Amino acid sequence: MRFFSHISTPSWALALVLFSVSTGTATRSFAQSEEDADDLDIEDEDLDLDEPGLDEPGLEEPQLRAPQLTMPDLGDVEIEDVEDPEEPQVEEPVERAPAPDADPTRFHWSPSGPVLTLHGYLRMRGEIWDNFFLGRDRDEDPAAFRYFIPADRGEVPSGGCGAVNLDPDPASDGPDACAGSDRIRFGSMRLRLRPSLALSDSVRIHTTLDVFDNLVLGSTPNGMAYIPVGGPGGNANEFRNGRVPGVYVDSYTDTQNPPQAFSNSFRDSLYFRHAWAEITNRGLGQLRFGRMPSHWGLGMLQNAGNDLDGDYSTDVDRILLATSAFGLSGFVSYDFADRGMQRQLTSDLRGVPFDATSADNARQFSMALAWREAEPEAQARLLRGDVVVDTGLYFIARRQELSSNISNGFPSTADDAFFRRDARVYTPDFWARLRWKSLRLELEMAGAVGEIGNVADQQNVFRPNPRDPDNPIRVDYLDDAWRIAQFGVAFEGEYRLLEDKLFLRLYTGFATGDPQVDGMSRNDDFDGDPRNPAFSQGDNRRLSQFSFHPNYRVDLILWRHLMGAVSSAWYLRFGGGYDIIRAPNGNLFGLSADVVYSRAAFEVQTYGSNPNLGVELDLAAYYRTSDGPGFLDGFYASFQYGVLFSLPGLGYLTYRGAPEVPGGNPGLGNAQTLRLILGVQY
Amino acid sequence: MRTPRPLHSSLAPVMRLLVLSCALVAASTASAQPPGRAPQTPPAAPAPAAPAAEEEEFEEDLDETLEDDAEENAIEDEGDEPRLRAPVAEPPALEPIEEEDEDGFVDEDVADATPADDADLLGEGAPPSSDPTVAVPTAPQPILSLHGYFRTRGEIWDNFFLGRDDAPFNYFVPADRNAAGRDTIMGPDGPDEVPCDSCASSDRLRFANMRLRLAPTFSLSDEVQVHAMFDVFDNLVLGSTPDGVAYTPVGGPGGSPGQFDRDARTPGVPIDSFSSTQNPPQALTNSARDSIYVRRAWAQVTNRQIGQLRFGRMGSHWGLGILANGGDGIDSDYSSDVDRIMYIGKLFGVYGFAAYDFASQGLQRQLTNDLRGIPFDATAKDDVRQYVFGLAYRQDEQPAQERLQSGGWVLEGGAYFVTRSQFLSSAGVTNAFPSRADDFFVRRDARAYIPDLWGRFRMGGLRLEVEAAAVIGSIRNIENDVFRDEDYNLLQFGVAFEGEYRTLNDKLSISLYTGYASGDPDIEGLSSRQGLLVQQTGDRRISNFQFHPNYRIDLILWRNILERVSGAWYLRPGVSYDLVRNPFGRLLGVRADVIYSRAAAEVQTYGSDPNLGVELDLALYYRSEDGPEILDGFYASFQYGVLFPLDGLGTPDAGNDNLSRAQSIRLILGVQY
Repeated sequence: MRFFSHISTPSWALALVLFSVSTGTATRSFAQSEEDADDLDIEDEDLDLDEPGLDEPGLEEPQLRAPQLTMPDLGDVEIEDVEDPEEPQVEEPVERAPAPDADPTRFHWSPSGPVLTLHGYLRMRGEIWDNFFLGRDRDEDPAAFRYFIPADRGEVPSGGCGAVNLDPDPASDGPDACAGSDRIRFGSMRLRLRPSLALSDSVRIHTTLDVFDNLVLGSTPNGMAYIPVGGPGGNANEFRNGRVPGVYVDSYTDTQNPPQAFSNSFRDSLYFRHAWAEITNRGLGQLRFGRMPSHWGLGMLQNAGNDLDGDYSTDVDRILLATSAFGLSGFVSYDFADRGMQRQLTSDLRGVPFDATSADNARQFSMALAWREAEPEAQARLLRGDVVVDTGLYFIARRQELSSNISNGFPSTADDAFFRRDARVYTPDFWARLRWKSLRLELEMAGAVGEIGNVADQQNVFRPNPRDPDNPIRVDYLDDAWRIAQFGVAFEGEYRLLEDKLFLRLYTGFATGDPQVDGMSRNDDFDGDPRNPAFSQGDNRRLSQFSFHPNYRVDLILWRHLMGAVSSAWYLRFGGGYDIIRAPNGNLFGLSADVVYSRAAFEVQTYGSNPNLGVELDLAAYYRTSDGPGFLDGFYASFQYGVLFSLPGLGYLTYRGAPEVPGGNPGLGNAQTLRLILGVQY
Repeated sequence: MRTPRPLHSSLAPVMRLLVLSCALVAASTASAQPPGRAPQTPPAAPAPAAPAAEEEEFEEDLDETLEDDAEENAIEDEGDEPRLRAPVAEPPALEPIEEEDEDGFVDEDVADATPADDADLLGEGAPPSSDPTVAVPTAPQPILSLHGYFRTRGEIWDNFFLGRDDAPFNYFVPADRNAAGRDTIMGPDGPDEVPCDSCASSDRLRFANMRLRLAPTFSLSDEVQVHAMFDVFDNLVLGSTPDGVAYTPVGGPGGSPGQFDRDARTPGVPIDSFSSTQNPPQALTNSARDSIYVRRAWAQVTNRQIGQLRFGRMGSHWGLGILANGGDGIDSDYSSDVDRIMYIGKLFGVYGFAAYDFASQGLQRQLTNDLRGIPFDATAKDDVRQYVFGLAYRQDEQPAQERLQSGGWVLEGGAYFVTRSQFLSSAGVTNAFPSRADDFFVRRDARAYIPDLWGRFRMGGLRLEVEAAAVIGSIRNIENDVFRDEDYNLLQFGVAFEGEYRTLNDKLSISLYTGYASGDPDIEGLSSRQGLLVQQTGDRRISNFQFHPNYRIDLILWRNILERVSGAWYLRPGVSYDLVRNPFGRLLGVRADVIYSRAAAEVQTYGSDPNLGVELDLALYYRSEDGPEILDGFYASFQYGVLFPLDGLGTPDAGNDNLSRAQSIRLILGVQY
C-alpha cells in the first residue's frame, strides 16, 4: 500500500522490533551494565582506543594532530584487569565516554561513563593571505581569483591613500589610489563544545555547539550596528550601518559586541550543529536518530570535520541502524537530505512547521559494511610484524522527482511552484587500509553515477508555440537529461622510522574533470550567471566533474582556498617530517615539509587551457602539550608557511596565438600564506 | 465610560509583592546558608532547637509536598503513558537540609569566619576576573543538574485537508498538489498540458522533526536556584536546512527589494539535488528560526518558614492544562510561558500563590544601533496587566498512595483566578522597530476575569478529574488603528473531564474523557488560525472558548486541523493495556481511543451541522528504564489515527459527501532525562 510505502517504514518497524527486544538486555541497571562491561572488558577497551576520527586525514600533524600515532600501550593493563576483575579498572573518565565516531561503523561499546562529558576545542587562527588572486585583478577575471582581491586595492578613498589632496581643480590628478595592497590579514576563532549525556550504557544524547564560529576577530565592535529594513532612519531595502551611542566614529570603538545575525553580523554567536540520540543494545546493535555528523574512510566523500583545523563537515538528518557481527560492522540509514519547501506561518512562532510536500524531497538511503580490526589487537599484530588490513564499502542512493521553484525565502501557498528534476544518483565508495610495521597505505575511491532530467530552473527558456509561432512559450523546464558519471580516488602512504619520529609520506589523488565545464573553483561565476558552470557549456550530456569534500585538504593555498576543494584534477603530495619531541603521553613537537604538484584532468577546463596548475611548498612547525585526560587533549600551536608557484593552468588564456588580455597576458604572481594556530583540545 | 485604573493602584499589589519579596530574601539568606559555606556574618549561637521539632515537621511537610507536587504535576500534566510525559517545569525536589552542625564541619568554620573569608569563599568557583591581572583560583562545585529530552518524530499526514481547498483546510494541501492545480509544475509537456502525472493526486504530507530540550538548574543552595530552559532544533524539519538553501537578505547582493530571496545555488551545490550536508538553522539566513532558543529563565528563592519566591520567565501550568499548560511532555509543542513574579506559600495544607504577570508591555524603546543599550517599556498605558491567584489543596503523594492502597479515597482541588486589564493598545504601530515618530495608540478598555476550578478524586484504581474555566469581561474596541466604541462582552466557558479506571495490577486502563468549550454562533469557523473575534452580526458577546493547544485529545482533528479544542463538545472513550509495566519505569503497551466531536453552535461550523467527526486513534508505546528517575529513558511510540469527517466539516450544500477521511501515522523516538 502506497500509504506505507515510502517513509522508511521498514526502518521504523525494524527500530521498534530492535528495541522491543532490547528491553530485556539493553535497559538494565547501571550495576548490571557494569557487570556486562566487565565481561566485555577486552572488547570495550579495545574499541575505546579506537578514538573517533583518529583516521581522519585532518588529524595529520599539519592540522595539529598526532600523525598516525601508535596508541599508548595499554594492552598490559587491560589484560591484567581482565584476569583479575577485583582489581580496580584504570579509569579515564573522559576516555570512557567519548563522543561517538561520525562513521557509524566505528562502534564504541564503552562501559558506564559519567553522565555528562564534554569534548571539543577552542582555536584561534591568524592568517596572512598574500596574493591569493595571483595578480588576476581585472574585472573580467574569474571569480575564483577576484574573491581574494583586498578590498582597498585599486580603490580611491576620499582623501586618497597618499598625501592628502584637496585640490578642487578637476584637472588635477585627484587623490591617490591605495598602492597595490595584495595581502589579506585577519584572525578568527571557534569554540566547539561536544557535550554528551549518558543515561546509561544504552541510552545517550550527543550534541555539538559552535560558539563564535569562525568569527573574524574584531568584526563586531560596538561601532558596528545594522538598522533593520523599516527601522528608524533605515533604508527601505538595505541594512545600513548607523552611528552608535558612545562611539562617535569607528576609530573610537572600545569593545566587542556578541555577533548576532542581521544586527551586527551575518551569523549568530552560537550554533547548534548536531543533536542526536544513540540507543544501544549490545546484542543487536545501535539506533541513532537526529542530526549527526557523518564520516567515512579518508573523508574524501563524507567528512565529519572534527579536527581542530577543520572548517567543513558533513552533517546529516538521519535515522540509522547499525550492527556488528563476525568482525563486520555495518549500518543502514534513511537520510533527510533535502526536504524542499516547508510550510510555516511566519506569524506563528510556536507553530509546528512541516514539509509542504514530499514530491520535491531529495530522498537518500545510505548503507555501509566495514571490516575493522580492534585497534589494540591491530597494534599487537603490528608489533609482531603482521599485516593488518581494514576495509569497507559505503553506498548512497539518492533521488529527487521535483524541485521547488521558489525565489522567496519565506513562501506562501501562492508561491507554490515546481519543476521536474528527475534526478537519481548512486554513490559507491570503497575504502581500504593496509598497515605493516610502520607503514600505512590507505585508499579511498568513490564514484557517482546517475542521471538528472533537468537543471534549468529559473532560466528563460522558450519552446515553439504551435498555435502562435511568433510567440514561443516560456518554460522553466528543458527535457535535457544529463548523465552523471564522476570518479575520485585518494591515496595516502606513510612510513615511519627512528622510533616513529621521522616520517615520509606520499599522498596522491584524482578527481575526474569535465571538458565542458569552464573553471574548477566552487566560487566560479557567482556574480555573473547564477547557474553553475557545470551546466553552462556545450552539448555534452555528461556531468563528470568530481569534487572532494572540502575538508579533505592536501595543501594550504590552491585547493584549500582558491578552488575550495580538490576537483577535476590530479595531485601528488610528497614530504616528510621529524618529531623532535614525541612522548607517549602525547607531548609533541616537530617539523614537516611537503610539496604538492597539481595537474588538471582536462586542460580545457582550466583557466589557462594548460593542465599544469601549480606547485606548492608547505612547511609547518607543530607543538602539543600533554595536558588533559585524553591522549589528544592539550594545548596546540602550529606555525605554517606555504607558497604556491602558479603554473599556466591558472593563468590567462592564449587562443591560437591571441592573448586573452589585449596587449599581452600579464604574468602570474606567486601566492604565499602564513598561519598561526593556537588551540586547546579537550 | 470606564476610566482607567490609576497607575498607583495598579502597581500597589506589585509593590506589596516586592516588599514581601525583599523580606523573604532577607529571611532566606539569614536562615539558610549553602552547605559547606560560612554564613554572611558569624552567628551568635546555633539556631535554637526548641521549635525545631514542629518546624522540622512543617519543613518536611512543605518539602515533601513541594516535591510531590512536582512529581504529581509531572504525571498530571500529560496524562498517562501514551503521552510520553516529561516532568513539568516545577521546582526540582527539595532535598532535606543536612544538619551541617552534625559533623562539626560548619561550626568550626563558622567560629573563625570573617567577612574576608566570606569574600574568598564567594570567589570560589566564580569565573576568572575580566581584569587579567587579577588571578582567582577557582574551585568548581557541582551545582548543575540537567533535565530535558531529545525527540525525533516521523509524521505522515494523509488528506488532512479532507478534500477541501479552502481555509483552514487548505493549509494542509500538499504544495505539489496546490501547484498542479495552477499549472505551475514544469514537466516535459510544458505548462499547458498535463504537467506531472505523479503529482496529480498527492494528498499526503510526510516529514520528520526533532527537538532537544535542555532544562538545566543551577543550585546555589537548597534555597536559591536558577532554572533555565533551552530548545535546540526546535521542531526542526529534518532535511530543511541543506547546504543548498541560503537566503539573500534584503539589500544583499543580487537580492530583491523587500524580500529575502532564496539563492539559486550555493558554493559546492550546483543544484539542490546535490546538497550534501545540513547547515545549522539560522533565522533569516536559511530558516525562519534559529538553532537554539532560550525559552525560560527564572530564579527560585525558598524560605521554609515563609514560602517561595519565583521571578523571571517561567512555565505555567494548572489542573488538567486546559487554560495554562506547561507543555513539558516529550510529545508537546505548545506551552504557557509567562514573565512573572510570584509568591507561593502553604498554610494548613493549602497552597496559595499570588503573581503579577508581565503579559504584554506593548511599545518598547530601544535604539537599533545600540546593541548594548538597555531597552525599556515606552509607556505603561498600553500594558496588559495581569494578576494571578491560586489556592489548592493537595495531599502528599505518599500518604495518598497509602490511603488508596488501604481502600480509602483521596480528594484534591483548587481554584485559580486571573484578572487582566488593558487601557490603551499600541498594536496599530506597524513598524517592528518604531521611532518616537511612530508612537500611536488606540483605546482598548479591556478587562477579563478568568476563574478556573480543578478537582480530582481517586479511589482504588479510579481517577476522576475535572477542570472548569470561564472568561468574563468586556472590551470596548477590537480595532488596532481606530476607536470604535463597540463594547463587546466576554462570556466563555470550558470544562474538561477525565475519568480512568485501572485494574489488573494497573495494567488495564479504561478511560472516558469528555469536554466542552462554548461556541459563538456569530463566528464563522472553529480553527484558531481563523479570525475568531470577527462577529458576523450585531451581537456583542464573544463566547467562543478555546482550550490550550497543548491539551490534546486526538491525533488529527483538534490536534492539527483545528489546532485546539474550541466551540465544541467531545467524547473520548478509550482503553489501554500495558503488556509490560514494572516499578522501575519500563513500559510496553497498546491503546485505543475513539473521539466523537460535536460543535457547540452548528451555525459556526463549516457545514452548518453540529456533527464534526469521529476519530479512531491507536497507539503502541514503549519506555525503557534507563536513567535515574522513573520517567527517564528511551521512548518509542507508534501511533495511527483515522478521522471520519461528518457534515459539520463539509459544506452546507453537500454535507460531507465530498469529504474524504484523514489518516495519520506517527513514530516518536525520544530520550528523556
